[in-house]
Amino acid sequence: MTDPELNELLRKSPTPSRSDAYWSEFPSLVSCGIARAAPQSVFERKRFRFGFATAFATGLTVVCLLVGFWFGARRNQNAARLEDTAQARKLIAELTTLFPHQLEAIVIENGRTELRLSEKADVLESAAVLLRICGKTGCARVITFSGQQVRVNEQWCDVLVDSRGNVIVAGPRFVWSKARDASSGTQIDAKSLGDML
Amino acid sequence: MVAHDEEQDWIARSRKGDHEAFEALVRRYQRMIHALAFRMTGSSSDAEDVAQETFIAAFHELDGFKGDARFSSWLYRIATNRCLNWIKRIERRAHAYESWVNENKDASIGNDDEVIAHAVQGALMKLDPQQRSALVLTAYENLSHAEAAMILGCAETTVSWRVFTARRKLKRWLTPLVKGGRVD
Repeated sequence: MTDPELNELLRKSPTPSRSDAYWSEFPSLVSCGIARAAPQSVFERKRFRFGFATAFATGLTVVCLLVGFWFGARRNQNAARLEDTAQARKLIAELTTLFPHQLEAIVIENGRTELRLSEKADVLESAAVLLRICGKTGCARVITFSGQQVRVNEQWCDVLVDSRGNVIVAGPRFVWSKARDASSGTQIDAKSLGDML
Repeated sequence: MVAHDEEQDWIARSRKGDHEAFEALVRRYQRMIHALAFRMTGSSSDAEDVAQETFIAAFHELDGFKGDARFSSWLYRIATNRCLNWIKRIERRAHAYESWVNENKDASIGNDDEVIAHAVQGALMKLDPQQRSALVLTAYENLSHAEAAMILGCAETTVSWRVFTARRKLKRWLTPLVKGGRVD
């Protein structure tokens, strides 16, 4: 079969014939379709805008609440920290007066306060440190001096304060500082009280 | 030239929401779009739906018509895309062909012309949709390969290749008809 023969054959396949009434009505059918689509799209746009506004308002409210809670919690935390620090300073000042050069550490754990005192008055009252140590068995607060030892995660560790007031807790298998936390499984927070004494 | 100016006026007025002007455009191109839709879908009723969808889409997309091509070419592009989407909707070419066969199996086929028309449309429906659209635009709508390429959004060589492949298949399928035999 040649190309002209194929063309001739293709043209023998007419499209379905439609009545004149169909052709005269079709444009108005399209107009109806457009009119039907328009209010729907306006409605959809309105619905989308309403949905978006609702979602935005809800999202904004949630964000505001979260920010409020975060600031509140942070303020409470700061207040608690300040209170902690003030209490620690007061406690260590009173106890060093009572036991001069004998106080090694004050350990506050599970509501109990334990004093660790040296038999001899040989404790160097260097920079004081407030530690908060949280391990598997719970949390403990320890007030001690730089150069003393504290028990962290079943290990005796040295507490050291450098000239800038940075606290380092060094154990046989880890070293902790604010910049470098390698105390796996134990959370430590420390604050030097040295300048207050 | 007058017809062109008249068309530009209708387009401008349609852009402003004048439905009467758009109806004039529809009236001018409705047969062309119906023919294309029928060749592509193989179904008279689907062709009506696709044609209506095409004009509704054209009305909403009129701002996108820049006037650098003929309005008919722009309309062809919308219609072809709608047809290809229609084919995607029914997913398989085989399904489209089956639909066409089912729709036409009870049609009263009397004279030779009706037998040929039936066989030709059946062969068109067996073509790949891309090949079918290239063939319909060039063979039925008498567009150049370049114009068809613009409408289909592909290279002119791609259109040429699709037309060549479609023609080769149609010749193979329709040769028995010409020789007096039966077509699958």
